[in-house]
Amino acid sequence: MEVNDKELEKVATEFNRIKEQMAFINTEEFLSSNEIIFIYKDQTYRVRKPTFGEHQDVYKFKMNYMYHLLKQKNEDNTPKYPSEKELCQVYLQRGIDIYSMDSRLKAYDIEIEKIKSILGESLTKDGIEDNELKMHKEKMLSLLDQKNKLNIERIKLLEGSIESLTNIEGLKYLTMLVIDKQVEEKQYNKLWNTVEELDKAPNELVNYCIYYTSLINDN
Amino acid sequence: MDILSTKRKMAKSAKWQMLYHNSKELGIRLFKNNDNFSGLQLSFLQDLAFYSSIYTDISLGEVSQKVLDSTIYEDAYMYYKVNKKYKTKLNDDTKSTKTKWHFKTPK
Repeated sequence: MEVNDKELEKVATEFNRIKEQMAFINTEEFLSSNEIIFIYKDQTYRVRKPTFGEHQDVYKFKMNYMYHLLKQKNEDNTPKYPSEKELCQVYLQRGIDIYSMDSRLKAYDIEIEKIKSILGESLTKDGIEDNELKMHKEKMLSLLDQKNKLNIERIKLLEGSIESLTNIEGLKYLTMLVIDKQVEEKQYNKLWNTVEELDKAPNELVNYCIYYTSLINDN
Repeated sequence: MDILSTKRKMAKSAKWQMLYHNSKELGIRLFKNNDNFSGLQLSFLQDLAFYSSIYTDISLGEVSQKVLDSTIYEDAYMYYKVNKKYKTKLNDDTKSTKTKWHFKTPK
């Protein structure tokens, strides 16, 4: 059977429309209440909004974890985990300047705000040319892209620091607190009781849980 | 599925804009819960208010319809609008303090 380009285009448009409708339905479901219910490998899970007490628990857990990392020593009695500042100094000795990355990120922000302001004002003027708007848009997209790449590079360089490790562990602890597993219709039990149990769970499930927890959380 | 960009598209849609206005005027509920909103719900309410403001400004002729062509345009316009308001308020405050108070040295 021969299919021409027009028919293919029609099918692709319809496919994209259905895909968008499905995304709308799923997102509407996630927004309908302050909990997210999802199915992973035929099992239903629930992510609920953390309570004030649970936020306090996470804070205490993070403080304890940070203290635990600070106390860890190597065999030669040097600290096992570096702080963000120490890591910046080590990188500096190797020719990687995180402080200059911070300055460049700030410079990107200033430049982006400047273009935003010009573009915003242009949109209020009569008879503005599409070409002018597109030019500003392209410039902004390019700056946003450069800024995001630099930000990711900075985060990756510092992911071994005490601060970063504590944040990751804190998010895992929060996830562990708010994830429930359905045992009967409308009855849920806690899925994990410790972070160690979460660590042993399938990667994909943990990633879903952490992602949904970060969506539900308002802090 | 990118939930955050879908959420934004939903807030822009006629359906959700109508529901948002009805919720304000007629008290129609948008969600199952009436309080203790999740982060996602709070962010969606912000998006609804954001687009409501843009649609109002388009109807008042304060901004071109072109603003809806891209999220970049929408963000830029709202950034400009908020900053303009802030600067106007700052100027008004400076002017009013100049005219309202007169400090004299005691005799």
